[in-house]
Amino acid sequence: MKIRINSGRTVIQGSHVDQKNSPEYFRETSTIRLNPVDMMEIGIDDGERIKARTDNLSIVLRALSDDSIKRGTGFLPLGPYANFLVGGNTHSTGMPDFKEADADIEATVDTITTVGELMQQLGGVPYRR
Amino acid sequence: MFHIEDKVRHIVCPYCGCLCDDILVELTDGRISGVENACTLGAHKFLDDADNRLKGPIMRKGDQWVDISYEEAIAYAVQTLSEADRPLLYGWSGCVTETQAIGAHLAELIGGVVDSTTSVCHGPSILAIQEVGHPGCTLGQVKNRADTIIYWGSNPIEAHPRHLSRYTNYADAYFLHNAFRERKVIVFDVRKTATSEIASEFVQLEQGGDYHVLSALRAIVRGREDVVPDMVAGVPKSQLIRVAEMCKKAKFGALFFGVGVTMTGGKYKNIRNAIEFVDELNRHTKWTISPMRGHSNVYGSNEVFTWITGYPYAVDYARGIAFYNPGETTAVDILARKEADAALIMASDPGAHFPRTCCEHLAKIPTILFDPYPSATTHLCTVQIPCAVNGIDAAGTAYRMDGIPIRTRKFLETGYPTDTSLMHEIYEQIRERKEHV
Repeated sequence: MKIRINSGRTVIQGSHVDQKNSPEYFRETSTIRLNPVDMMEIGIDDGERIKARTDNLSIVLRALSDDSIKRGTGFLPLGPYANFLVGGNTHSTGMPDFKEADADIEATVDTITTVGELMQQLGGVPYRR
Repeated sequence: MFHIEDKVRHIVCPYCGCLCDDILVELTDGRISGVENACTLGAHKFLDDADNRLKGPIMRKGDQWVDISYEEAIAYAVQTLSEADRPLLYGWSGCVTETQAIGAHLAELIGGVVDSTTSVCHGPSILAIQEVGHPGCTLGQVKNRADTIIYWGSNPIEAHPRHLSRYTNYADAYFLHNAFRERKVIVFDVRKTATSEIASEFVQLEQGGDYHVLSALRAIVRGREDVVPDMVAGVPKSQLIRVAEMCKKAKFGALFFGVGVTMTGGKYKNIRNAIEFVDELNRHTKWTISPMRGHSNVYGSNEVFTWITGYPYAVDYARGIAFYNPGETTAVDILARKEADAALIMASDPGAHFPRTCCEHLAKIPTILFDPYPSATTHLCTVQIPCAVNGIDAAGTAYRMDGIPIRTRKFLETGYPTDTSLMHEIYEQIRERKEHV
């Protein structure tokens, strides 16, 4: 299923910006809010996982049903998970398409990578102290 | 056991662009034990601070992290930045203006690019202001006069939680008898939010529909509702007519817009349209428009860079003179083109907030990160240097979202060096090195 992913601040995300490697930040920024009917169509319940795919890249996220979300859209708190799906084109404005990531989503049983593991996928070395 | 307790008043919260200056901090044995008046975001900033700090500088060696001294970290930064052909100096929104000034001068010294987090928040707003101007005002004017407030693409209850209680819906007003009853709040957003719940009127538009809705409102205010179709980006024409009437009836209106408008669709053209909508309303009554700046001192970076370089962000000194071309000299573009061969990241977290391709490039080049806490960029950088936190164990100047400079206060002694002193040391060492070449 194709959805357009919006991103933005939430209180939990914002409260943990100085603790990007905490379980709270990890849980909040890797949880996508979806319309309950869309979740039913792809066959998942609250807390189950989806794989969001864009440009041949994919990321695993936890899904949460939210009836304030319109069908065909999703809301993912801003952070490394949301930005993993964003390309580097700024259309000559300096600003990427942060709130307009189009992705294909499907149910998955794969695990969600932590922030450190995600940065490792991008070429970094996880700092775990 | 004997505890030394203390209360410090009038602390400035260093979290968001509201820079609330009425925070009371309780200290027990030199640690923050309580915070009053702050919102949830600010309270976490103060209360969780001590446990989160990185103890000292760290360096990536192969796939290991090793502790290094401040002297070694500074020496690494000096050598890396001196030898780089296309250094990027990015961030600057969480530090004081004094540090930002050194950053701008350093860019000139090493022929680098200095850009702030503006380019991924309200950069488009600045581009629009450069096209059509900024009918803005201070938040004090809004608090005391505004009877109609618009939040567009902005969710202050979660992103600037005290904006409503200090300046808009819940604030007392000198020129209104019963501010809470007299004020109307109109929210434009693509989704229901905590802020839309308290709105007098909630306009839910389709994602990317901001430009269309603004154009329709401009037409209606100008008396040309005949050209507006029945539905505009998911909004019924009847609602747009009602909202336009509310706006025209205001004695003093204030439109606040967030990154919901700067990041989508036409980007800076959305903001230009919003400014021109406010321009149109000013033919009928008094209206102002202001961006909801996110980081504590991101506005300061625009002020400081403008004094020093002539441009507010994305300033490129590769030619020896200041060159400004957002879309080309902005951090995301320089990293996406894989152009930078070294990066200094000050008080920001591109690892969490940049597109993946930019993060991949940061992981490949020498990246020096100044941040008090381990962040997502920590995993990508080569060296991280922890420094004192502006507003906790460092003081300096920060600009509120409406352009008011506020002096932050230092109330703790932790022994961490300030980012100003570290940047000063790096600047001086590079200058001396260049003089001897």
